[in-house]
Amino acid sequence: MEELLDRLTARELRSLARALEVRGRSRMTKGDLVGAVARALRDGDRTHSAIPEAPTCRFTIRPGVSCGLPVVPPTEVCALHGGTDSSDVIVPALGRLGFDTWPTLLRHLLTGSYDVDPLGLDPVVAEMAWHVLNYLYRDYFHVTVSGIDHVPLSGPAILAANHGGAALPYDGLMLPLCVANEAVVPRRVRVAGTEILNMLPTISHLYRKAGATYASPDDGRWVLDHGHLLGVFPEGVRGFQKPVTESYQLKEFGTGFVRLAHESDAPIVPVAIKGSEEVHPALFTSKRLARLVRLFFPEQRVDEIGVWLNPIPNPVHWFVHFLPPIPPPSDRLAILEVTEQVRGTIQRELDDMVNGSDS
Amino acid sequence: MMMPSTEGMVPVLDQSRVSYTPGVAGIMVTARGSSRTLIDRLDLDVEYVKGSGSELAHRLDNARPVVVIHSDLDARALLAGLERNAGLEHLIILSDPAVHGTSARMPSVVPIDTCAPSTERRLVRSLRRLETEVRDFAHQRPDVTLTVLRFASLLGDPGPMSRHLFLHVVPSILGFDPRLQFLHIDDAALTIRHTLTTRPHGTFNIAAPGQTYLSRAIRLGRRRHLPLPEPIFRRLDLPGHLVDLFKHGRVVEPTPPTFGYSPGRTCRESLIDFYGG
Repeated sequence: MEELLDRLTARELRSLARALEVRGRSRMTKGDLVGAVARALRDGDRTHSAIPEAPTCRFTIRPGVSCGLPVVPPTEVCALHGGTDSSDVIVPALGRLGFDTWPTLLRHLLTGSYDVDPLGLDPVVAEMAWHVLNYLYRDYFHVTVSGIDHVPLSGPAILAANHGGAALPYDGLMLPLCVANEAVVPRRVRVAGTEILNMLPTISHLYRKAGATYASPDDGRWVLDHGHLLGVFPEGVRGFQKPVTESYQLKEFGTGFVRLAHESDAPIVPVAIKGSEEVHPALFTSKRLARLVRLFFPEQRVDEIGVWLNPIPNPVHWFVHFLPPIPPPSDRLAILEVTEQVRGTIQRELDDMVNGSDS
Repeated sequence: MMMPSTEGMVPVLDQSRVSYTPGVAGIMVTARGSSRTLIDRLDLDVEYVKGSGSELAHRLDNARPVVVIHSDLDARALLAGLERNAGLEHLIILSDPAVHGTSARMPSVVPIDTCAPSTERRLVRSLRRLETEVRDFAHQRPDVTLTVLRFASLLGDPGPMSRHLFLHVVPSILGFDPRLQFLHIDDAALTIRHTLTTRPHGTFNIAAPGQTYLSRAIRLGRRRHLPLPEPIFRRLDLPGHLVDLFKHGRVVEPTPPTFGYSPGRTCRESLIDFYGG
């Protein structure tokens, strides 16, 4: 079987490994991939085959206690303890819905044997959030992704998506999960959130630990300068709070993300998300409610708040389309033009999705 | 390793003093006890000067580097006096990153020149006034090398932050886990020595490489964590700017390489030293 597999390209092997859910595939060389895929095919056990044989990280987190997270052979320590940059690629080898790794993860959380990044990403909390949210992703919203190959495998890029939801920013949660679950290299998408996240108790630190960031130009620049993926919703709160009558009609785009793309020379990947607007359909929007919110959170910029009725989110089927990257503008004069180009691309795709599927 | 402690008893780290080329002396203007422990770490021929701003300005010798530690003294009168001091070559101002202020709309990594909109905190206001006046001073006296150092929360001095973190039970604000940066007091002393020898010009934020969440810092010190609702936390005996810091936290941009020195201990090593020392 190994000879057969050896004829495949590394890329094909990697997608095969993804289908077989081989853990740590993103870090393997071609030779390792051949071995791992062959083993996975032979065992037939799709989820736990690689774990018992995988060597574990020997980093001592406390005298007498070693890390114990699985590592991929060429490296000796796991991503948490300096093996690789855990702020760009998700800590690999833990697998999906790996609740069996939670005791190990909790031990790390309690001893704090690793470092957080300047934006506040805590790789262990992010990993645990990924496990929990995957239920939402797979079993509740049944997210279907296409065009994931348009997300670059390395280097900076901006993922610009349409925003919706009225109640909770589910699309902000699903966008990073799409890349984490489907892409060949499970990179982190640092989604930029609005300032109210900084003011709400518990959310204020959880969203940072899970890998999101605050939507300010400085943060965006930091993410792109370090070669990470930045997820933005250029419609902002305006797009988030729109009534169901205007669903999938894009509001005006902010130009900040294109300016960032221009400065950091990062391509822009437009993303069309269908589903977010139907989870909590807002019957109408209220300016009075917005005034009330501003009373409690004077620093939040919001004009209208959507009024929705269902306390439980609707279990809609989500479709996420990643579209071909748009190169950054070469000079500042083209910023508006590129913004419109991104908006037009997403709007056209959304129109096709809404009219085409009719689900 | 739990050390017996009561409020006000902070470990004064027993480490050898930082040596410095003799012959050059610094003149300190100080009113804060915590800053004094910082300067004492340097093996300097130090003369502590106290008094009102205008009095001090007259007493400062020529051709000696001057370190001004922010205090409640009248900075304007002091700087006006220094402006007339023809022999002055190097002026060091010790400020604090609190000058940036805190707000929900601050960037996650604060650039050196970014400030939150106006704040009512006394320390922040007076620091901003001091830095503005220092900038005017630099304009008037371009021949004087001016270094403004903003030290992150010092560990190991008897300041409010060290005292708070060294409590057996460390209160924080319920629902908020601020990102913090620290600086070991020995690294701060070394930074001052570096500044005295190389005379860099400009404003610099100095913090140990890395950052941490308050909860992790507390866990690292094996302390108990007590989250309190915000109104109750505000009643604790803490300066206002620290209350703000415990809500939103602050991480500043790393010191640029042009400064030529970066603290030897990382954030985590500083904390381990602080709790273990």
